[in-house]
Amino acid sequence: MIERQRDLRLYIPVYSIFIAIYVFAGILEPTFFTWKNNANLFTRITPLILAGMAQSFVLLSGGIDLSIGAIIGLSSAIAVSLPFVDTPLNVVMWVLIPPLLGLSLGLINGVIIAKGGFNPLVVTLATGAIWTGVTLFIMPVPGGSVSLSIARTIPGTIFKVIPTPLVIFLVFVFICHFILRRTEFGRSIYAIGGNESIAYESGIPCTRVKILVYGMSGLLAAFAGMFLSAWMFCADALIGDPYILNSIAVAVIAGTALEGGRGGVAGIIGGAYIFLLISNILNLLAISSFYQFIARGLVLILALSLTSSGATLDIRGILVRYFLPRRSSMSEIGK
Amino acid sequence: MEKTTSTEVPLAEMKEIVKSFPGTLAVDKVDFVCNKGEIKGLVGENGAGKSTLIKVLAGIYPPDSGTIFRKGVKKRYRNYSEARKDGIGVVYQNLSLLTELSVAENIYMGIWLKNRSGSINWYEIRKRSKKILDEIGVDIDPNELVSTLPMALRQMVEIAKVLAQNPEIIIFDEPTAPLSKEEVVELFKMLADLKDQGKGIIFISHRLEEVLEIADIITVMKDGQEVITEKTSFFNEDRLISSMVGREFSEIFPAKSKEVKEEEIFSFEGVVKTSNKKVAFSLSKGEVLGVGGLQGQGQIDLLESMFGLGGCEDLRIKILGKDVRVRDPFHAMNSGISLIPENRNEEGLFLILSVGENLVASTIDKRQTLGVIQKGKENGVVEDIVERLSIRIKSINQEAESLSGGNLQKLVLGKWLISDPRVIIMLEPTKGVDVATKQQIYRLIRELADNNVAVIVYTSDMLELIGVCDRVLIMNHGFLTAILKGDDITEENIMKASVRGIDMLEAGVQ
Amino acid sequence: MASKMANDVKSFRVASFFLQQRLIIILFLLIVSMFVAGEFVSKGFLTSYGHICSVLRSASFLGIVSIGQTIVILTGGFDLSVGPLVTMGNVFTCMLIKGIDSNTPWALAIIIFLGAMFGFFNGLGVAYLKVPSLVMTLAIGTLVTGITLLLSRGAPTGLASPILRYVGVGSLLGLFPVIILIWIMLSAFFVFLLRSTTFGRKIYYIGANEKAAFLSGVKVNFVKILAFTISGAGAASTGALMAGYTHDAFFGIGDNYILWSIAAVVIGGTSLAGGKGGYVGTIAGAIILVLLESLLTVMRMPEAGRRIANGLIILILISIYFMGERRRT
Repeated sequence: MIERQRDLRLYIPVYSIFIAIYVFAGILEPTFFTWKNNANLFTRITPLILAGMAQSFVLLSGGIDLSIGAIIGLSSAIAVSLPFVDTPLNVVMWVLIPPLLGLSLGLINGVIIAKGGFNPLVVTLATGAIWTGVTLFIMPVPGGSVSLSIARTIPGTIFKVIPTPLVIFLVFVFICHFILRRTEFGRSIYAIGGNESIAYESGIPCTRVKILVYGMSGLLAAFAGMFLSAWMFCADALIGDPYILNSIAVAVIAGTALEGGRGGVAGIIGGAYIFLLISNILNLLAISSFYQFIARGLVLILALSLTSSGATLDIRGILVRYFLPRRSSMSEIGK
Repeated sequence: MEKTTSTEVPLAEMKEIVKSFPGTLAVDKVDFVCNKGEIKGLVGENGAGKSTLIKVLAGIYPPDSGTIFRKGVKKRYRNYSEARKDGIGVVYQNLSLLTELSVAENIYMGIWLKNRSGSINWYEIRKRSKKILDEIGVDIDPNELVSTLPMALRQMVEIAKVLAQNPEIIIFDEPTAPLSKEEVVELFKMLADLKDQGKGIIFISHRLEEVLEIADIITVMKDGQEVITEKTSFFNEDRLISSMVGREFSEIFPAKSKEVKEEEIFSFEGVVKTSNKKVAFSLSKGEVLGVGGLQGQGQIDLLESMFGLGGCEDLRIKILGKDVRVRDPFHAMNSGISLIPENRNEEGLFLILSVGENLVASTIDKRQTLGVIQKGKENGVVEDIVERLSIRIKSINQEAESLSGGNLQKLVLGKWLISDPRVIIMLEPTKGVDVATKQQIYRLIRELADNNVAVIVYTSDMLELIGVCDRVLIMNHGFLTAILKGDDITEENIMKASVRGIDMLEAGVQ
Repeated sequence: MASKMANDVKSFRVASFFLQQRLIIILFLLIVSMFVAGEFVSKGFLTSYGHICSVLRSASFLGIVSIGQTIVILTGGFDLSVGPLVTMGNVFTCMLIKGIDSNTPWALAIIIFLGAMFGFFNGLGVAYLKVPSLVMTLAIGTLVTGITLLLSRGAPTGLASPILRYVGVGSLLGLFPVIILIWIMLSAFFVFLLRSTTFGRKIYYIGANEKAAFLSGVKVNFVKILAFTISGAGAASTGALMAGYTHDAFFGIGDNYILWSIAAVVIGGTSLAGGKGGYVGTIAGAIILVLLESLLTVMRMPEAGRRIANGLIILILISIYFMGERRRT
């Protein structure tokens, strides 16, 4: 099978399901299709996309980042605690400082994990606790403020017509996709995630790449936090917590394998929408928002059982056999 | 004095290389030369040291002593990457491809041709990959995912990958194993081209007729030493074989059974999945059965299927005349079948646990009341088996990891012997084991057979196969090619059968 | 992967040999010194029997949750659903008991069953769907949070019964806190389980080398599922017992337990790769964590600082313990 075929087989289902759910939501509630609602969706989905891409980078390299939520929280807290609100200086600081912070925190994760060789789960769990602690220190209760110009532009529109969030996430997705497909760094991530010793034998600087991967994750998480601060107009230390699971779910739905080496961000928009819309639909149906938790958990488990390889219970295999009888079975050839 | 087909400074020269591993001296003061525009065949039995020698050249193993010269310059490679940068490439049997990526990407892994802007130029990578693939006569779309390619094509991609680095010296370690006759012809065309380009090629293979066809000069190794190096015209198959073999049959093998008893204690019928061919055989009382042939010809599939690990379909296994079902290792064990795996560290041992814990791993449930382990009984059983197998330990609470290869193998054997099996399947029972322990293991095998345990041994060590087994099954391409008995078990016969292409069961040969 | 393991094990062995033998002693010495240090900061820290009991009471809850976490980590997995399960146990117990004694037994039975059920699902996903335990338990945990919120309509109601309160806060003969006695009994049982039963031994085999365990005839799937089931039941039960301590329920009570239970196991010297360690270390780990919290409280450290301290402790300890367990490229 050609690479493009494999990618299409992955992304077509994701985007088809996305469109299906989207239409379904519209049927339930006609106001769904209004421009206002869609603009709102763009805003809500941006941090999800950013967090999902952050996690995707790490997952592709074979690791995991449980500190994404904490970095989101910390960067948003910093973003709203900058001085000289409503001055150009504040805006400049807002643009520069949180990303640098996120990058540094991510790099710290990376160094501990790559150089120390420790388990990424435990390390990021621990660093996440530390960053959250720091956040609570800075911001024991939600608060802070953002320059008006930021708060108006980010969740607002450019040229009064194009929603800024749309532009933001499209740009970010494009950049990340480019990095993953067309740069040495990006391809090294896939190699390391696929088989680290082979990658090493090919001359790839594994430690360095891994450190940068976590740095990338921290950076993207910081952007998510910044966005949230502009949107919410204030910050809450624990605002990032749901993103731990959400980022993993979105990454998995978008086709990234938990083992690493496979996947990417091309499907991230579809994946994020699927994830978000499921909650949205529940709201539309006036179902208690608590179902969202349940839905998220179930969606993740469903996505995992469909994409996980080597399962004794091959759900995807069963579905493929029932619904797509003409397709030949993949990868039984060779060892 | 080396007879060479070239008079220039050799591309690489190894002098007095010595390399040993715990328990074995793999390479024993060997000199080796690789010349420009020459294909050198390197032959020898398993364990002769061929793979180790070229791994030393490629920087994968540092030699214990001796020097490597590259075009007259003394070199020391710290790893394969360094050797590769110095123009040495190795095409292994165990491929180094990333299956989730495309052929083109694998070929240019680590090289990544780039645009002026710094981004990867996929167009160029695909174009050049296609060119290399065409040059070696392979028709694959460079966008093809490696995971969907059959082994033979993957092998070719591996070759393309090595060629992309433009090495001067190319080493091929058993390249024809997964290939069909036509594919071998193509491969040889490519090798001839490479030779014309002035590359130095080292060709390791068990398939002697192929080596005779393609090589200009052949080196024979035996027991870690160079036996002879001559122009190919000097050799024919028999001469090669006799250089490779003919060592003294040391007294390490115990006497075989004098009479073959007729009573059948084990029988097997099944269809090997990879070849779709049927295999059937049986064992009589007191017999040790061996399974041989070139590596990767379905022997492991065959034997693992008896332990519930798949590999064969339509299984019919009978122990002492009774049908036995083996769905998974747990069931196999309960039916009295044991498997000594090929890679004891990964598959048979718990290195971070103690010797005692390792030994009782398969029989935990046998010494318990309501789930509580009877420590006293357990210790008793452990001490018994340690004594019986003469396992050298300081205490049964010692960490398994601290044991030598031979003792580790005894741990695995002990684990299964405690379960009092009816059938023991051994995969490479003396891999990485010292001579003294080998002897003990051979005696143990004979003892077991004498006690009417069905013992089936798979080994790539020819001597072992001949010395230990009463009967030998040879497999090639996933089917049986011969069953040798008694005095017919000779190196020549085994090797002939290993390359035979006829399924003896289909042909009705007895 | 496997040759890596051999290398890791070699170096781990050197580092861990000294640690393993003396670790428990070191840990208990650490506990004593922390008590003493606390005495300097605030009189009565060490000398007040009431305070010691209070520390050990908190440690009991953490300790009971960590039983399951220890077992799961020994098999090489992680259980991130313990937090939500503790919350669920806490909330549902109060809802079901409503302050009436006679409701208590069957309410507890239901809670234990629910916990076991979710743990069972965790086990199924890990064993049969081959989903990494990290993500599977995270997903189930989210599910549990949702169910808890849903069934309680977002507002915890109900009350613990007097008998439950006695278990949580009371003391036998006025001297021995009941919950600590329960912890002691459970500890003894599970230490025994891990060291002397076939099930316990199999846990170690799976953690040490899952493939070899499978090839040695161990029913790996069965044992793993059972491990997660125990963990789930334990977490839910802890939440139920905590209802006795806090009198009523509140959300978020279980939140810290994910990090804390893993921390307790790590501090106790159990290897995150599985196969080495045990519950005795976890006991010490739990006490140390609770002591740390208590020390920080007495030093007037805000919540923020405590979180930081928790995270730092884990990082520092894993670097000390697992110097040898580095993965080499």
